[in-house]
Amino acid sequence: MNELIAPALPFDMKPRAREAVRDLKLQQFVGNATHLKDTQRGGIFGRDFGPDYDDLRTVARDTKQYALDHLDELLERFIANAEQSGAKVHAATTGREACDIALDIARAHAAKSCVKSKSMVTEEIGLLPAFEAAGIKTLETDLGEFILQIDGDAPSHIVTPMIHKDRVATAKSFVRELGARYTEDPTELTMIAREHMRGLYRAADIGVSGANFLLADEGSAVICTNEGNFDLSVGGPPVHIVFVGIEKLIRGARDLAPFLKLLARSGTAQPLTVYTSFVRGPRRAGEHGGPKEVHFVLVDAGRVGVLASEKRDLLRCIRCGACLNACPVYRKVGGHAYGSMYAGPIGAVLTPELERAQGTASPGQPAAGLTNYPDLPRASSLCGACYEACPVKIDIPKFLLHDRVRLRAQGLSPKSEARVLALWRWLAERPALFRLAIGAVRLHARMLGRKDGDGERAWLSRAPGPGAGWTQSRDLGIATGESFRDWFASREPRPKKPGGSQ
Amino acid sequence: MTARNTAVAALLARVRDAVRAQPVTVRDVPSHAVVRRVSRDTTNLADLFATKATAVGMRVTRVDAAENDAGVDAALATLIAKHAKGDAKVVVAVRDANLAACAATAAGDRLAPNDNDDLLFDCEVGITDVDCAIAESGSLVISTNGRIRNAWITPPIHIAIVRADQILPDLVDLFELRPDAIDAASTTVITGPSKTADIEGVLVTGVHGPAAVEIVLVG
Repeated sequence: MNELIAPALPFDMKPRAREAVRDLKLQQFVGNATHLKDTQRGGIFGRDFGPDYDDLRTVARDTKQYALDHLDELLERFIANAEQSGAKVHAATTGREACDIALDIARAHAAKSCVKSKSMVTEEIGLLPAFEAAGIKTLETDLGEFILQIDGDAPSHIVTPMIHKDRVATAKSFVRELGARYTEDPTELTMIAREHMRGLYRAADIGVSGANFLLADEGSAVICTNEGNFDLSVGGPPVHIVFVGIEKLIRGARDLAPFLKLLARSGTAQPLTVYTSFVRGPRRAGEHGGPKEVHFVLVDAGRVGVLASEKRDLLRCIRCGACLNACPVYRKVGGHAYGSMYAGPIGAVLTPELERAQGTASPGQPAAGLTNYPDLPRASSLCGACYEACPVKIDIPKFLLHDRVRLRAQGLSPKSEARVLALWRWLAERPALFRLAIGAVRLHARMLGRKDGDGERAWLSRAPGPGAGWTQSRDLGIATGESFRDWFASREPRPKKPGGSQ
Repeated sequence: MTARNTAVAALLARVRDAVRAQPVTVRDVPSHAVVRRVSRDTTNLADLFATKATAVGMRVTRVDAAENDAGVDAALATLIAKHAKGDAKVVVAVRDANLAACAATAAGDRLAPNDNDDLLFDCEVGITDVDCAIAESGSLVISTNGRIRNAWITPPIHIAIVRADQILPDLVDLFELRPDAIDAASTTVITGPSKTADIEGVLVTGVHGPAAVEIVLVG
């Protein structure tokens, strides 16, 4: 598997974050693209839902939570209905098992080639390397994923996987890998990819995709794309395999509309994705074209463990990518800094949780999870932008805090943090010393800071000691007015309400 | 029991235990009333559909209902002449017998056989009708029920014939009023031409599916 999204554990985020912050191109691409998408998201919801937006999110939150709270019933219904339509349903506890199921199907058909539609869960289980190792030539058909594939690169965003790459890199890869003539025009580059893939769709033995939703009532999968690559990869080959995490289940089509309306608006500010495709079993008698076999591989890979945990809410995620676009940390460090296919705020909470639930720690090691991703809970300013952007209202900041508490309980917090807190506590328990210390800090800050034109606020461009990290890329605002204690002491006591107990 | 069935049963058992490990927080699915944007009482859905379909990048040709088949023939002929050059082939995947005849006439000797999925890659234009359409989003709903699969995906140009009485107000209505539309082996809700913005966010149409979607709106 690609080391960028499946790094050696325990994963150290800091070197990657440092490198990303120094990469001016990455700063520009990721910064601009996320800012634009975030603004457009606000625009389309304002225009189409106005004040109803929050109610829509609440409906989506509760509809998905209902599905998770009743997942056993829904799963049973889905399996029965999918088999009724002629599909075959498989279950995989681990990523390895999921790959093995697919390899068995491929072997039964002597498959040599595969066309694959974009899917996060297949990244997670490492399907592509498993297929390649078995000699099955696999083509990523989503344009972004295709470019990443020929470059040996990895996705850095859930929705726009090559957000970190530009047209020049693409042009060079197409010359090198496809023998194309050099062009930096995105339209021409896209057409080169289109022509390259046409013949491969036609000849492929197997089609593979993920799914955005599973409908229990109908036994169907729903797949959303803008390019139409899913429709081609399911329509051409004689066999199609859908890999899907069990958390994608909802009751049925009757509950689908809120999610479709939220997904495309949250992800790319479109009313709907261009293609919303429903798969309900293999081709039927008398039909021309379409797969003769449809397989659903239901993937656990830690999800059952998350379902049983106090972090069940995380499974509501519909992978729209809005929290990545909204996050000030993601915007600076990009996706690869998170060491997972799930980057950004949702990745920071989901990655350790899935890992913990899978229990992939080496024998003799303590429970993995946070041990393997100790930096992720701290890769956030807890500003809450992710929570506000989330279409299913996952309280990501709450879960990040929860993980920070766990980090501390497991002794995984940095020593400096413990020292600072100990010092703070020692001071806070000694009012006279506390007053003195605060006074000293205020005096220092006033001496070092430079004032705004109006003299109301002051800024520190270079903080001393451990504060220097903060002021490397921004100024630190400092309070210049009266202190709270002084204000409180000088204020007139409020007259007591007659007869009141307050 | 096969190994497959055993694994599925084991997953179900584990999910059952996991569900019980936490309290149920939502006992009933809430009302979805807020999801609807276009009311069922809306008049002139054809105008709204045309506006929204245009907004997402499809092109709409209106045909007066009074003109009937002759009007559809003429509109299709114009569009085919515009898009099919040289010896380009046209595939017709139209379920409605009447409209299918119109399309076949308009395609003339460009008409390709519509029972061979593989040949679709050689067609320049795919003509379909629709199961229904959605005014709110300007979407086409097309199923494999009675139509060759991929006729609306593989050719670079897609021409869709929509009758005004097939237009539903809102996406919600697709699932409430027309569950049959998603009962086929495959159904696709199409909202615009195939597009990508993967390279530096620059919008390019026609990456895998059609670069242009032409709608002939009757009535």
